[in-house]
Amino acid sequence: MKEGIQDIPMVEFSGVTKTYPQGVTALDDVFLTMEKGEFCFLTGPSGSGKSTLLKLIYLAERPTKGDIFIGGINLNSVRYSNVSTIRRKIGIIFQDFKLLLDRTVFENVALALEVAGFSRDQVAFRVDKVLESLGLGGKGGRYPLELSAGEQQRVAIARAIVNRPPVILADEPTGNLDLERTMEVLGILEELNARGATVLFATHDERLLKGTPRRTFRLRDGKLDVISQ
Amino acid sequence: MSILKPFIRAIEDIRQHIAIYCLTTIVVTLNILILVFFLLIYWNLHCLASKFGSRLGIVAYLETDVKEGKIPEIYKELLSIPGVEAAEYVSSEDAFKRLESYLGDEKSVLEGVDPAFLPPSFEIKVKKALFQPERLRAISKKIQGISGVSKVQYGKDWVQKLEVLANLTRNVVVVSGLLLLFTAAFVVSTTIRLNVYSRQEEIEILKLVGATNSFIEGPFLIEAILQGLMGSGLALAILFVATRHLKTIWGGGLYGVKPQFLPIEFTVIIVLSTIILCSIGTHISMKRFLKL
Repeated sequence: MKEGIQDIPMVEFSGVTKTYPQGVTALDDVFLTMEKGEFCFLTGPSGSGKSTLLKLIYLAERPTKGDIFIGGINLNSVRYSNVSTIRRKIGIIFQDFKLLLDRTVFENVALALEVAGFSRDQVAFRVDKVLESLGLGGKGGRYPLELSAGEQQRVAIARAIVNRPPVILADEPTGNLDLERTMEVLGILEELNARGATVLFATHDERLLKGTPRRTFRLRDGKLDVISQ
Repeated sequence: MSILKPFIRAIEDIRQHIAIYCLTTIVVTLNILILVFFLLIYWNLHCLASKFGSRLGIVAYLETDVKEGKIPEIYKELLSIPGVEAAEYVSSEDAFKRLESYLGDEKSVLEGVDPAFLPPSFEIKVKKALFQPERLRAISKKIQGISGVSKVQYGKDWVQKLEVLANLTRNVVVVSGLLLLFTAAFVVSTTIRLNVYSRQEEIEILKLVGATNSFIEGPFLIEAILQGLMGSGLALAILFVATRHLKTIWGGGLYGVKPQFLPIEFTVIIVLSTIILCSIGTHISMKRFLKL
């Protein structure tokens, strides 16, 4: 029985189509499966549907057709009032960091724990710990604009992982970083994956994909292909 | 502790967005100030008119030869007429004394005149007599029918003039008040919407990290309630101080009526309405950002 639960894919798309009201089809009959603890790349040119695919996972969009499962839960059955519960199980990292500029690093990271109802002490303990682990120890009192782009992205990663979500979605997280910082971010995500998180890394940076042992999906005009197993 | 959290977050949010919060509160204050100022003018006009109204009454002159024993009977009959609030008997002697006092130094002209030449009368106070000439007319007719009453008088012309003035004032107040109310509601809700829009990114991020709608909206609503409370409270306080100051410098008042501040019921309604307005404005503005 226990094995059966472990066999359930962490992320699964079954014949998913997403058409926007203007008639643009962003995803067309997509099938995708990610096992628990897997690290996959999602690539494709700009506008190919990468962000839409991620948005469907974190329920910012709903599919026009097909089913999406997260840890066996069919997202079509998730009611609006329960969207927040699903989102707490997913850590999301964006290209533009999406940090609140008028809040300190500590406050930005703490947000993810406060919404989940953690006590002040727990919040302080966990935030300090995650900032330390990402090399941001002692920078909790700084504001995002006082940090470099690489550090800002690490703050965004800290916020995404501080409540230890089983799934991490990274939407072009290295788009604004130089190669050195890019490799640093990739290294952090690989480390999180090694600790058990399932990571889906969307990027159009071909340098990251060269010789990678990770499974890579390519999106082109809404169609999904697996380009490396 | 969990009940206190939204309040703590609201206070922290206010601290973090103090400039925009103050700006919104000032806009609320100014709008409520204009609205309440107008209401205050109306209220004082109403007080003035009521004062006039209470002075206007009906005088029923009795026949000069009416028997003393019949007066209580007439008094009872007067009070039994619907609309009559009170009646005061003025004997011929009392009327004479009043006339003497009215004439002052020239009262000597009354020397040798029998006080009985003035008829005894009843001064009748009518409930809400003002602005209802038909009612006064009807009551006067009934009084005229009482035996022993020779003549009935009331300030017909005054009442009619005041009625026209009161109707005009009321219509102007209602129309302008409604316009002001809509303007205040529009300006306040637009300012609140701008405040919410300026924090759109914050709301979006909170949603992405898994915040529930109530978690996001709670502090915003608390801020709106505080805004309504402070905005209306400040506006009322300014006008209260202004009214008191006017009262002090304007000793005699207008026709004996001093500037009046609004009754407590009005102030409570104003504060509650402003709180509701701010809360609804915030809720509507947030609704679109709280969607999926």
